[in-house]
Amino acid sequence: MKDRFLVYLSRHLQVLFDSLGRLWKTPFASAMTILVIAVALALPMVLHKVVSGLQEVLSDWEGRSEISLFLHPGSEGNAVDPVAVGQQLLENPVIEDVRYVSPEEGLTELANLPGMEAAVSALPENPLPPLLVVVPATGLSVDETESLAEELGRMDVVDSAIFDQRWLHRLSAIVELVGRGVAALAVLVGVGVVLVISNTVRLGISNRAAEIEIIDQVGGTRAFIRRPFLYTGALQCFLGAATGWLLANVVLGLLSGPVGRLAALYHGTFHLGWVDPSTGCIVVGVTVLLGWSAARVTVDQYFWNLRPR
Amino acid sequence: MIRFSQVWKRYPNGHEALKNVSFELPRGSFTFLTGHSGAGKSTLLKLVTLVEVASRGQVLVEGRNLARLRGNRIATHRQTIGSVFQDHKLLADRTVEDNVALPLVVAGYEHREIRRRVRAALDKVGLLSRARVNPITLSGGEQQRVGIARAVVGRPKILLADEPTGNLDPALADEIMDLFLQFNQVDITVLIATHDLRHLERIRSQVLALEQGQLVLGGEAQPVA
Repeated sequence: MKDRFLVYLSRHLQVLFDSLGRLWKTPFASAMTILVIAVALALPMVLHKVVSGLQEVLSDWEGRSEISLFLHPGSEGNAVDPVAVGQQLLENPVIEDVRYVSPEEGLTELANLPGMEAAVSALPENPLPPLLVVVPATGLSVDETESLAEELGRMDVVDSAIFDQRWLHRLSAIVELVGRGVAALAVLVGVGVVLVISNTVRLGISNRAAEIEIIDQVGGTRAFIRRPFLYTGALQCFLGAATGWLLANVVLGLLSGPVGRLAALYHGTFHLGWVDPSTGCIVVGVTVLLGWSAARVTVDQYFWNLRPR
Repeated sequence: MIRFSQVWKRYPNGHEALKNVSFELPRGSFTFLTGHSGAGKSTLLKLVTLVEVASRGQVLVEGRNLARLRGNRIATHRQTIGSVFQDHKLLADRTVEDNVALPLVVAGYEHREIRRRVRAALDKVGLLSRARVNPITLSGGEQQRVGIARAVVGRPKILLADEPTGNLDPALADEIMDLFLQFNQVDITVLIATHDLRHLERIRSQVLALEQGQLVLGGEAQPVA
């Protein structure tokens, strides 16, 4: 039993090394197949990281949503005290924080904006109303925040309430759409890998048709004939996926610097990161499985023609 | 033992290669299968190795009804048969010993046993000294002997040969036939398809003659004066 297992194992190892040898003997064709798989896999891996980064940033932005309550001009000097209104608002459990921005502070902020200083100094008087910046409680959805803004807008002391996160909503929807697109692209790439391997195996069968015929006639089982093609398909996919993983990380490494600098210009942080080892291993594993299956289906198709009729 | 009972073979294009063929070859017999080109000789051999299946009738080989064999049992059946071809069917990218070892490799024999048997088979056909060379460097007669060594290395019960001397000069052809006779001495059933009547004159054996798919002779060969 042990001897039979050792013979079986040695046969598999022999086929594995034979398959590696065959790839080595045709370096150009093998490299082309491996690179096609690598490039095809690197694309969705890079896009997936970009989309994940964007989703992280958007979620951070959504978490930092604010409602701007512009009070009626003159409220400050009258009976209504914006600070007191703010204190009153804080009693609402769905409000986490309220910050008061006086017209003077608002004007100073405006004057600090590039190119606005001259325009602000030309104003005869401060036209800005007192402002309360309301931070909703964490976990409040965009719809709930919108309802809160409407409710606050109906207060007598409030001239207008602005909560404009629709653009963020739209951007989020676009990013989600792109995410779905990346998933669809990954599926298409998977189909592409199957077709590439299927074509390579078909070519291999065609080149070794005489050998297969002889092995078949001297009593080679289907599993014996199939084995080298399965190993070839799996090996090409393994090498292609590993190269693709490496390639994706190289691209991400090249992009991360410029993207980080761009994000900093918008006062944000955007980390592309790397395709981590666990994801890489999953990609390699699934690709090897696809290559193995594609080779199996292709060889079995060939066997259909070899069957006794 | 090979037994054909009312066997017909019709190809998908409508050509009837065998028509109502019945015969029995006892174990250890030596038989020539003769007939003109297209008479159905190769088809008959293919039915024995199950490369083709009979359209009608029954083919029994060593008690196995070939119509019932499926999957790996077909491979196992073929491992009990040694086949020799007119064009040798040797792999040009492997050495002589690797070619001869092929039936043992596919049957899963252990490396040392394969080496031992391959050397014995090559010794038997007189090619032990050429074990490491590429078969394309050998003469036609030597290539055919490599083919015979490959056919017998697995110690088959049946040895089939399809025009094994078709491309050889008479002296080499006689050498090859003598090899078949030697293997027949150790109780291997030998069936040789040939259209060379000279062998039938030289070797007294059972003869099956096919003509347009029909068996027209199935008895003892008559010595030619």
